[in-house]
Amino acid sequence: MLKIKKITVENFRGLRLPVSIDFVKGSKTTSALIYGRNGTGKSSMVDAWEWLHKFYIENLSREGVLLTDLPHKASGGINSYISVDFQHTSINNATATFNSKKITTPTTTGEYNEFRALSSYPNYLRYTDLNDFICNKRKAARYEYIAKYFGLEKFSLLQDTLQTSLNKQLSNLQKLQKDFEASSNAINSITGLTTVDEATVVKFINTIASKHKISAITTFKQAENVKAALQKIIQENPVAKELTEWKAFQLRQNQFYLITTAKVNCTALEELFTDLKQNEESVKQLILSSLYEQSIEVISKLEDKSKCPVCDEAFDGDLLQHVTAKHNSLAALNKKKTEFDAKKSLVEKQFEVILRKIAAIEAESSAVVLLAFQSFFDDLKTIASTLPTLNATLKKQLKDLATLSISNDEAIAKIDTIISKEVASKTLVADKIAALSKDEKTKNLAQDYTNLSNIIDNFKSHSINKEKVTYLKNITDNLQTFFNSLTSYIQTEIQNTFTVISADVVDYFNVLENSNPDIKNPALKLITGKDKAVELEIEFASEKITPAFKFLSESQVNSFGLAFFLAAVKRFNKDFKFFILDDVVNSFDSFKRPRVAKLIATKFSDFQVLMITHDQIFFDTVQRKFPEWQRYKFTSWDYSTGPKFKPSKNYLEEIQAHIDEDNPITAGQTLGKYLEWTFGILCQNMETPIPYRVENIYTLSDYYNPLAKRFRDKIKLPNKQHKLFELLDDFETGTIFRNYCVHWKNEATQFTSEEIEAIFKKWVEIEEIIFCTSCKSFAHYKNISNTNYVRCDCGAANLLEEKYYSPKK
Amino acid sequence: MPELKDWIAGFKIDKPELNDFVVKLEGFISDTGFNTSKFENAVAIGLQRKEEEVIKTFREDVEN
Repeated sequence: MLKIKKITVENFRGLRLPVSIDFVKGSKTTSALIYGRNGTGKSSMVDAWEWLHKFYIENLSREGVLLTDLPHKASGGINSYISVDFQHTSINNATATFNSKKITTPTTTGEYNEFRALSSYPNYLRYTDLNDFICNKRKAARYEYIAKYFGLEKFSLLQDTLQTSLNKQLSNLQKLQKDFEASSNAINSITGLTTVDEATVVKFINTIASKHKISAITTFKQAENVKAALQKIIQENPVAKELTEWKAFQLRQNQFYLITTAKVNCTALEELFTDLKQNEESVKQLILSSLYEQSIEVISKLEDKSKCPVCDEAFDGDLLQHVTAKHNSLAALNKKKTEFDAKKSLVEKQFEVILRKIAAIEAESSAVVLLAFQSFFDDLKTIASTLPTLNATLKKQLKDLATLSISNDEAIAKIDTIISKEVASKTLVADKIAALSKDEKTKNLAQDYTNLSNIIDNFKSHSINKEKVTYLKNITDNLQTFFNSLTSYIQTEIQNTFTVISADVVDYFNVLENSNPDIKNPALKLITGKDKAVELEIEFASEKITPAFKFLSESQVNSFGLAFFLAAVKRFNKDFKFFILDDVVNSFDSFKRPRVAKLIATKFSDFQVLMITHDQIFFDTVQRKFPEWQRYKFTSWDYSTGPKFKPSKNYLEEIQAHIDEDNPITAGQTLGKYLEWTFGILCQNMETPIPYRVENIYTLSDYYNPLAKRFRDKIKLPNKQHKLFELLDDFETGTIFRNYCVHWKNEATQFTSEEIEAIFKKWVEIEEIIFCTSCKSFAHYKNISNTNYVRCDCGAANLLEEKYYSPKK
Repeated sequence: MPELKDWIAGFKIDKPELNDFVVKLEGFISDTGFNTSKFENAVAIGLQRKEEEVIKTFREDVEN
């Protein structure tokens, strides 16, 4: 079995000097716990771990962080690495070092490939991943989460990007088909037939050719010959020539109009600009708007609303009210900024459409048309030369614009002039055509030329589009088949794999959610007909509910997400039993956090874990539960060295160290804190009635005395003495203990190191009986069918066992 | 862990008629997904080539 001995990271993300996390204690491999406030560099360890596996960091890539940004800035990309030492018969080390010459492929050394073969599935879970699973409104996000932990990340990524391409090509195909149909319809309207092929078109051209005594053609290739011959005839008839030119212009004119005024949108945009510019300082704060929004959502679910979840600092006042007020003050401005951005984009698009239309009509070459519409073409020239400059201005950021004045630009006025002259212009062209069409022969000649010209152009367009449609349809059809098959594979794999791990998911979910017997059997349900949708199903009061969100709180969905991750890890990491949990307990209610520790203790005792947390209470919980783990505290961070960190002792080690150093005050206070916490747990476990104190101040005696009585009541047997009774009696003996219980918080009360050590040692002896080192739980009382049980979670520490009793003296 | 390249190989066996297409498609597939822009460029070049081929057939006789 592959076991980690040490992880060392240097010059990576926030880590500058080497940070080594040891996974060996004594001679045994173990797990590790890192505690540190936000911003002390803890998560750089997880980033490095992900990079070791994938050579990129997914969530950072999504945020636009480049691979070149991964090494610590001060390192210049030199000696930036993660190195893992192992205990294994053939794998000693796996190291990935940043390669500045080929940033996509780090230099790997040691038995890297052998290690990767054993560590192929994702085995790390961040708070943000879990949050995506819970809070993301997109069903596809949950699908991606599941695919990732089932080892289908590459498949899901391919599916995602393939779908984007497929949709784009299908849209292109639709556009080409539309153009193809438009050219077919145009040909049909000229020929009066319903079929479009070369023979029909050639036949139509030959009809015109024959009318004007031009040689017939046999293929479309020769069509331009007929056009050239007819053009020659037209050149000899100035009226017909002019008529064809006006008719061609009429077609372009109809395609040019409708143009919409730009002035209204430009004026509205300027008003919004002036408004925003007056509040420029606040606009800079808009970047915080989404953070405030998320904070409101998070704070409302926190038990402790006095500490900011973002910076971890305590806040004196109503934090939710404060953040809501901040958010509301930005909401109106945010709305205005959104409006401004939308309007800006609208004006930009409008300008682009106008420019495209100008480019098409400016191709006019007829001298008579150009002369008659000189001012029109002059206006177009002005507009075409000005709009790109205005568009460049619009593309600038708000902060980079001192003023915005486009509505009064000459080009904007000229657009309105052109619009206002639409009817008159069209009438002028129609009148010209009517005037020139008086002679029937000339009119027919011009019409024949227009028809000939149009049918040639449209048949060319028809032939090109036909080929393009065939080509693209073949690609999209094949791509669709490939995509469908991929989707079907992923969905089948997800469903089958979930079926395999579902028993574990249910088991772990129940550990995390044991307080609600009505909610059970979480399952996954793929939504048929959707490519990337998966829904959570839950059994609520014996009825299957989909989506589970109908009845599950976010915290319960959280349990689902974590149960799912752990079940996948257990299933897929059989040769390398290791996983990282980075701040995931953050999403759990505080009363549920110890259950995460319990779950790891009971179901993952054969796994190595790297647990990262910024929650002091959870750190304490884990260190009590797993005294054999290595513990580190990241105390601060600075740019030139990275995090400052030190190994941390557990409570028992810390008390002993203070005693050894003859520091009785600190030893006494640490022991007091420890006993207070432990008595609290035990009172809860034993369902111990405690006298209520209105001032809410309790001494250790207030917990201990009822607790000791409760133990005695629940495990006593007639004529027998329990070993625990002897230890409790011994513990309570003497006035020192009674004094200590009342005065341990008072520094003025002097206890010697020997006195503290005596109390401490006696309590450790008691714990050896009431605490189970296998399942890491204290004994608890339960009455099932009128039978009393006082035992730990796994039953190994059963206080009612015969071995604890001796005959009463 | 299921490997993408194994699945593609299986797909080619299941759909031999798409073998040539998939071989071309593989050029755009990597561990980070599907190279959308490279693929779109290739399709655009293909479409352009088709257009040029058709235009060439219109011009032959005129040039002669």
